[in-house]
Amino acid sequence: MRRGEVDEVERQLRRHRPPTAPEALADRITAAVGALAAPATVAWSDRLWFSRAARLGWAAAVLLLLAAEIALAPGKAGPPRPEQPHALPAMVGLALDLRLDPSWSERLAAAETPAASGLAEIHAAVDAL
Amino acid sequence: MKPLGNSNRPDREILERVAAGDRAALAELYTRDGAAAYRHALWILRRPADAEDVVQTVFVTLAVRGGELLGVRRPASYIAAMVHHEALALLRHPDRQADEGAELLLEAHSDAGLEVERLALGRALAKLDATQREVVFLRVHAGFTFREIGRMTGVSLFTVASRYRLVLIRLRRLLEGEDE
Repeated sequence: MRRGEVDEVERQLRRHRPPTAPEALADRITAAVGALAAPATVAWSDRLWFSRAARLGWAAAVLLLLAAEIALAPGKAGPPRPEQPHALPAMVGLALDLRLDPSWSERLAAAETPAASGLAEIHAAVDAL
Repeated sequence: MKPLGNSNRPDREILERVAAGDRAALAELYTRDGAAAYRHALWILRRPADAEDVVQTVFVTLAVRGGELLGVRRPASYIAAMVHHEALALLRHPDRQADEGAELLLEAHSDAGLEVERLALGRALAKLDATQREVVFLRVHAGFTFREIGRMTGVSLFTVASRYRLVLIRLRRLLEGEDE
């Protein structure tokens, strides 16, 4: 079917109007609404929820929370934690086994990268085992 | 019902007053959207008494809906969606009486040529099912977009657009006597 034929049906429909509502219907609705026990009310929570300012406020608060969460989260490139107490006893044992200076246990527990001289000391201790 | 008298009042202001229980605001809303609601219901149900029942139910519901109305952007779409649901519920009611004549879907004309066309269109429209007639009404007579019709009837924009086109093709065939 060609588009023009469909358009012609639409034009025919537009030449006519559906009937109007009977005038008595408005009075009927007035009577029905008047018979209601109590008129509708708007709860403060609805006003708060549907108010544009309140919605913008909620959205801003959520964005701020997200920003704070991201800013405070520890990243991969963040500084190492100053101490790792849970690892310390194992490192003390390891330092003793390797006959290293006792200060090494704390440095290893803190994941401190040893200097070249320190690495040489560790390698020497391992080789001596 | 006595309306407030200012038919240009913004939608939001009217809805806020209806939500707060203002009967004059409800009357103004009826003055603006009641006629379209009646026609919409009539095109679905094809029975004036049922259409009046649906419009009454819709406006009484609006009177008690309260704060929910504060979230409504366009009253005409909101009311049309309510009419859609109420009319379809009534259509499915087992005790509902049979539809009335096809000629009541469009107003009579004094012009003889237009009157012949009206009767032919009425007969063709009566052969469509309720949802097909509804999409024609909402598009042609109520002036809603396909997107708005989709939202209020719960189908996609593409479904509405294709349904509308298929209905017009069917109407054309019915008017030509090809599809009885």
